Amino acid sequence: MSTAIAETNTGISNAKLGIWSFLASEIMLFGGLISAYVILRSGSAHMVMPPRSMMGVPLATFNTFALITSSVTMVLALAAIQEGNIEKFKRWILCTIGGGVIFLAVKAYEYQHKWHEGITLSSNLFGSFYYTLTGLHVIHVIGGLGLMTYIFVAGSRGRFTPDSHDRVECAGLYWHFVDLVWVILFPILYLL
Amino acid sequence: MTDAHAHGGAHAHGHGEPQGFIWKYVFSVDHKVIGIQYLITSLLFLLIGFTMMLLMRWQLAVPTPADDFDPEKLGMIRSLLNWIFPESMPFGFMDPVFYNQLGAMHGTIMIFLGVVPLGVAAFGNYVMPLQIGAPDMAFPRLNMMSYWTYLVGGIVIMSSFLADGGAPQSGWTSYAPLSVVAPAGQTYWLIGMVIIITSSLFGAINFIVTTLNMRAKGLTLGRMPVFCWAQLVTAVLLLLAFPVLEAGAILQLLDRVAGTSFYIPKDMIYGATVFPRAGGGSPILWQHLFWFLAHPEVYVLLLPAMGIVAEIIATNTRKPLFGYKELVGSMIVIGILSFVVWAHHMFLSGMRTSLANLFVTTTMTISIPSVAVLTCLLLSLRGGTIRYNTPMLFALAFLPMFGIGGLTGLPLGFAPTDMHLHDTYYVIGHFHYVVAPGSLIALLGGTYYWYPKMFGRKMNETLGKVHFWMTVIPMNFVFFPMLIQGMYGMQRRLATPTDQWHNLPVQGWSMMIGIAAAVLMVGQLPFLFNFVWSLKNGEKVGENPWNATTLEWACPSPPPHGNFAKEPEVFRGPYEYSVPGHKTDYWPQDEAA
Amino acid sequence: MSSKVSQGAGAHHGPIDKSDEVRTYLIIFGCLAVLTLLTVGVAYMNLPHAAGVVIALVIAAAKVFLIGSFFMHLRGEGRLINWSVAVCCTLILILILFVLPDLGIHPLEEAARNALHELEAQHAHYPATPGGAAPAGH
Repeated sequence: MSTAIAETNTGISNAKLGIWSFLASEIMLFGGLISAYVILRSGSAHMVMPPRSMMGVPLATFNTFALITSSVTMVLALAAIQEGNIEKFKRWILCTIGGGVIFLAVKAYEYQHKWHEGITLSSNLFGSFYYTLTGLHVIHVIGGLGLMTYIFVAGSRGRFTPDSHDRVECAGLYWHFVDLVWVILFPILYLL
Repeated sequence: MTDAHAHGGAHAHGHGEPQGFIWKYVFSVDHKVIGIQYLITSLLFLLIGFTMMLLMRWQLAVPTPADDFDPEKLGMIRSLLNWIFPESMPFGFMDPVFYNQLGAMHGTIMIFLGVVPLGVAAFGNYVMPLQIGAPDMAFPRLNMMSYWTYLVGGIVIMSSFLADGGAPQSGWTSYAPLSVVAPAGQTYWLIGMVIIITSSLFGAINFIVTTLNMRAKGLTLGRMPVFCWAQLVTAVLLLLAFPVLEAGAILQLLDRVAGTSFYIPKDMIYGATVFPRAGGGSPILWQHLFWFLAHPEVYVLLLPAMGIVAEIIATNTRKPLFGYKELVGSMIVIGILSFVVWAHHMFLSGMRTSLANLFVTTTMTISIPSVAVLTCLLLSLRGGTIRYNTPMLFALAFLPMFGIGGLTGLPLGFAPTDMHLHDTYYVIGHFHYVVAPGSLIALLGGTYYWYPKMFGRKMNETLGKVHFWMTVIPMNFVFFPMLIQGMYGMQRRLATPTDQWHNLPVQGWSMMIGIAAAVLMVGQLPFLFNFVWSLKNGEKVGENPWNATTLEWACPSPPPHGNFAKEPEVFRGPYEYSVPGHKTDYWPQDEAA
Repeated sequence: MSSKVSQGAGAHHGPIDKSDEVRTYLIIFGCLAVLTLLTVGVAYMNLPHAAGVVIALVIAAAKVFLIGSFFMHLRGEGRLINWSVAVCCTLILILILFVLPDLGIHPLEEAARNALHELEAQHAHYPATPGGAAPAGH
């Protein structure tokens, strides 16, 4: 089935306009949660921040790098498909998936470590926000990995060409957004 | 996520191979089938919500037994109620917990399962692609998922009656911390809301992309019907506001099931002991997150109705709408301002007065574009050749009803007067005036107006007029007295208002309201009968029974898959009626010069 | 916006050379890496709280801008998408900035500030004005 380039009133394809609309709602979803965190963090006498040593900043910094790298490999995969180089595309998509998997693995370790140390979902407000914010983000990363797997499989089957690769671009936009959310969560949860 | 012309759903099934019943009607991706699915489902939910309110009005008419009450000699209705609800309505007197459950469910069902799906999803889905000359929505499969998600969400919410402890009972507003400690039904509400929000977001994305991207050749945004503009602004409101409620609902869900304290203050006393949570949260935070959505939500209830009224008035006055640009501009300004007025619902929450003043200012400002819309619609009547058919009667009634509703909102938006009126029946009177004699009247008008397009037959005019008068008049007898009761200080959400001494002088109005509500319900019977009867027996119509100009009237009634035989081309604006020199009093948008 | 426009840079043009863009992506990656290290470094400097918050948010904003502009190609997109993103960010800012005055003031801080105002008011009117007690402050 061909994904013919659409002629649309705005000049932007339906898929791209659709994904940006979706991302707008995601900005509001994460924004709503982050707002709640900012408000209670500044206003609640009982939001006690754990000491930095408990937060594991070096590991989280590495994790941030992992996700940013996977964002770069994603955009390189897009460039590859625009060049018509399927092999390069496949390699970069696999790297993107790899970066996401590393991120999840580190998060899994972080969660069980912190829980063990006493920062749990209900231990205090910080714990509640930490697991909620990063947990929702993790769910989005998992979804993104599913999306990337589809992109990899479809791309391997020759589905995308330099003239028709809308879905790769849209998947990329989603993945970059997931990275972007982490770029905000990392300082407000770990560093401040 | 199909591209504009690769709609496998819409076209592929239209050519040749017969579709199975399931794919054609149940899991259809055709926007028209989905629109009708939403229409039927939302009308059913409206009926359910209305029935709940009738039970509540029964309770309010006679809240407690009179001195000479004899349990052996129950009246007909009382013994029936006693038989149906032995625990919740012993001797036909409602248990306060059941009252609160019905109250919370009435609000939730009417708003999220009734009026919004009717105004936005039913009419928007059916009419908007036709009005812009598109073969279907941008994402037909997403559209289908949107309907089924809505239905699942509705079922989850309704099934809360079966939960341990019954349905949610913390108001449709679910204020914390009451909602956090409430029985299991509240969890159903939260999960159901997340599902419904997902359905709305799917729909909003579809509407925005379709409207912006799939208009026919020549249909510039400046030639788009007001109805489509209204749907576009509404879709943006849904897209941007609902996720904030979703965020708040996630936090409340975690508070309920995971022991968090987002909305629980430190050392909260619950039932004579300290609530065993870490604490530190704020109940007011819930109110902010909730109302950040719920205020734009009321414009979601209103804007499609305004769009429908605009369409009906243009067609039935045989003249262009007054102030197309002002109408559209005002709707856009309403949409923008709706995001900065939310805390006028919270004037009595203890919030900081400087903040309250800010919201008073923004709230007073938003009344301006609302009045502008009403004025344009009123002035559209001037000099027109008015055809008083059933849809037009409903559209005309909308104008004064919405006028009353809007005016009664002013003392609520102004904090000093809201001090006295907040949480009284005045508020109930106000918002019902805008939603029931307001939006719902317009939506009923829309049903009569577009029924011929959907089913190829007109609804019966006589039954329609009976329905009209038996709706508009009783509605006023139901809601106007509430304004009076509210000014006397009668509070909302009380199963037995007569327990409070100051309510006794206005208790008599409650009896009248109850009777009027019953008459209102009876008045809907002609409509229900008409709807079903006309499917087979209504007067058959062609493409354009109303002699209207917009594109939905330029295809068969009902339209086939793909809607238009070939993509229409548009040459003029949407309301070219009575153009001097033209042979007919209407000049369709797609008719060549 | 009345006519339909063919979308997609490079539509119907076949494979195109992307090496310039690839170089840009790698430079941006470098910037992001540097900014990440910078934000962590600044955190360990233990600056006064307000300054620390401002710097962290500025750096985060810069990273968001780079990812958005270059990786998400916002730079190349028209007004519709760029303005939509701006609107969303503005709405979240409104949510935060309108609610902070209500809930974001630390109650102990507020009590301390009120107490300070009262003390100042009392001292300003000492000795007490004839016929009246010291004013009640706030």
